[in-house]
Amino acid sequence: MPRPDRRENDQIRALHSILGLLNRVDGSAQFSAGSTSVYCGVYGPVDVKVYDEKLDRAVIEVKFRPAAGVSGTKDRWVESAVRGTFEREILAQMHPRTLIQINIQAREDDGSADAAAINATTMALVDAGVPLRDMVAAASCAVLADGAAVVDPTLEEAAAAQSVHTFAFAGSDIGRAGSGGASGSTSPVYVDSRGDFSVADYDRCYDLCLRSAQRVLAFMRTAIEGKIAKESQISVV
Amino acid sequence: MVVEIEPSNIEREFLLEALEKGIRVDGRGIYDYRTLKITCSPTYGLVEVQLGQTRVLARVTCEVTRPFPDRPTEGLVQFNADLSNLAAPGLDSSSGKPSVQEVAVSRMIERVIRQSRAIDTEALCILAGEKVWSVRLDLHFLDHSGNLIDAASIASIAALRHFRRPDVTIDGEEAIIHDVNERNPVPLSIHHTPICVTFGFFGSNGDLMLVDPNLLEEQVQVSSFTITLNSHREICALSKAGGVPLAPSLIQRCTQIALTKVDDINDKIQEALMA
Amino acid sequence: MAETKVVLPGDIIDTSLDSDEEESSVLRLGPGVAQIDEQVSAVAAGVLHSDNEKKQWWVVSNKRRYVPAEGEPVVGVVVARHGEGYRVDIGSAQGALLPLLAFEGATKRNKPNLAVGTVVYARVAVANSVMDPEIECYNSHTGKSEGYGELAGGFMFKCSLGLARRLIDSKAPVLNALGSGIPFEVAVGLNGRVWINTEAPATTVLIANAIKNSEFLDAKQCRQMVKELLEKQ
Repeated sequence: MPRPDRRENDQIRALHSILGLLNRVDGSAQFSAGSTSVYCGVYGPVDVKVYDEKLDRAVIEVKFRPAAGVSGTKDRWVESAVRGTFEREILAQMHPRTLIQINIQAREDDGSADAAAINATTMALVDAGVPLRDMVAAASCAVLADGAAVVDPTLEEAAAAQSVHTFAFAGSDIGRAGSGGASGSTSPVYVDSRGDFSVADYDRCYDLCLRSAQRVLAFMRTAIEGKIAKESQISVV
Repeated sequence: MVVEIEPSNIEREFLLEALEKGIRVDGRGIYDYRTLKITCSPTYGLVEVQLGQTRVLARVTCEVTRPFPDRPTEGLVQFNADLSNLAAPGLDSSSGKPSVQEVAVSRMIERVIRQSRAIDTEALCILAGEKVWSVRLDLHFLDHSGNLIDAASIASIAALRHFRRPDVTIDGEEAIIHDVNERNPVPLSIHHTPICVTFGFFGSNGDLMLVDPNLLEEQVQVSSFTITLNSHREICALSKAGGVPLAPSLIQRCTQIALTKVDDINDKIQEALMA
Repeated sequence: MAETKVVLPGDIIDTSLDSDEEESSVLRLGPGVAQIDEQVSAVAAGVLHSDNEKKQWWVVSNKRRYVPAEGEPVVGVVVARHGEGYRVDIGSAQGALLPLLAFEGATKRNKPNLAVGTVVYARVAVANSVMDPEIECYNSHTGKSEGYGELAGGFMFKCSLGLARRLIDSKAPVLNALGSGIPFEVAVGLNGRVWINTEAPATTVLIANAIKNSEFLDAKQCRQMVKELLEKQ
């Protein structure tokens, strides 16, 4: 069955990003996959209220706002997903008694917005210079009514699917899996699966998402390296 | 929590000293707007406006709903403004209640568009007493570098003009709402386009004036005044909330200046919509 | 100096040494580099620098949020006064403490009295991850002010940390080009704040904007930009 936008089953939409576009926050990024687009702005490390502070590490806070309408419980889920993922990846011990605040604003949601939110957050944290153990790249996959597994589903595809899965992987894990390691042994840093699915469905989606995450990571690397190369060409004399 | 820091004494004093000589800290003239960039997305109703470094995203959506019982032939228009920590430090309240600034901007835009009857709500009627369109305008502030109101009014008007709703055919007692892929969606019926122009005042009598205050200017000003005009040169709203009292002649001067600015801005909106 | 390349967080850094040194030599990991489990990896995105002789590794990256480091000059704004000192905003997570006597020649009877909102040029005296930072408006080793202290008049603006580092270099192209045409005073804080003072507000605005515009220009472009600005005067 051809997909409505004629993509292959394992093909993600065109990726686009802008780094450092916002002026008041410490770091920012806009990440888009097709028409799904998300902004992320990061402050950190900044001051934290005394009763919230942790003596040995930074507190990580995430706020997510949807593209249209008032924010609700679905958005709290995205917030906890992003916080859970990055609580491990941010080297919070380097900045005790501070706050790292991640603000995400969805611009447009045409499916796979949670993966886009995670990818935008990675890029914004890098832009802000928050110390990270690793990069994080995310991708989604849907199992359709006819059993086909399609990557980076649109809103329409996700609504009609039997199950939808989002995986996020750490950069070095993706690298290791890519160079021939057993794919089943790479644990994702985040998984969210919903709907009716079998273990085989899950495994298929896992493989597809891991390969898509590889492409997302390569894209992020190119974007960030490009910005740094441009900045470092400025010579002192 | 992330907090906003007040300007230092040096910044305040220099701003006033320079303004007395007609100079602004970013090199603009006192009647100059910052660079205005309006981007209309391929998605109808989604517009991003950059006024200098202030950035706001406006999004218009619609759905079918029941009208109010006392106004059976009128559609609904709803507003929501989001001014969060993304735009500037210190704006999120821990209790989840909207901040003072968020409410102020939201109310201003609502006044400017709803009370000036910019949108033809009768044209939003599908079946009297049963079905009407409810149009929703969401404003998301992405970057607060001064003068949110003007940026928001430009984004709102551009988004409303950019938006297309599904076409409807009335067949006796039934209404058929056409899918946007079957029949081209249609624009909203807009009576007029109100645009806000904000002025900042400085000095002990408020006699130093400038247009489109940036962040530092907004933090230092002693009074602020917003006039809303449309392309027919009509005043839709005047707003001066608190601050140092201003002479009526000053208000007159502001109105004259605002007239030219609104023309420029409407031209830019038109250009962006055509692109 | 060894090779330079762009790294991203998570990239493993090869710290194997060229010569046959003992395995147990000490490696010094600077900003942007950390030991994670058994590996040395980059934790920030930027250009990786290394000094094989001193066995040092570090990443140069541009940021906006300042993390205080001892010895660095900073431009701060007084936000409060306590019994023992002033609380000064230097753009870091916690405000810095400036002791009342941390000025040249200050005694209990004769010390500066700074109002809230005063701008100071100071040196970071204490900075670590577990304490609030402390600054001083003189060199505590020599007792001399060495240019630190209250900054009066002029104008202050913010810039990125990378631009501040470039400006503090005595060979900074934009400052040298401007200086050859206009007399001005400047104090650069490595916390991304710059103070300038000239005779006329118009000149101050010109210089402030020239410095801000020089962020993405290389040396030659800086000189060209300044030349055009001065000609328009």
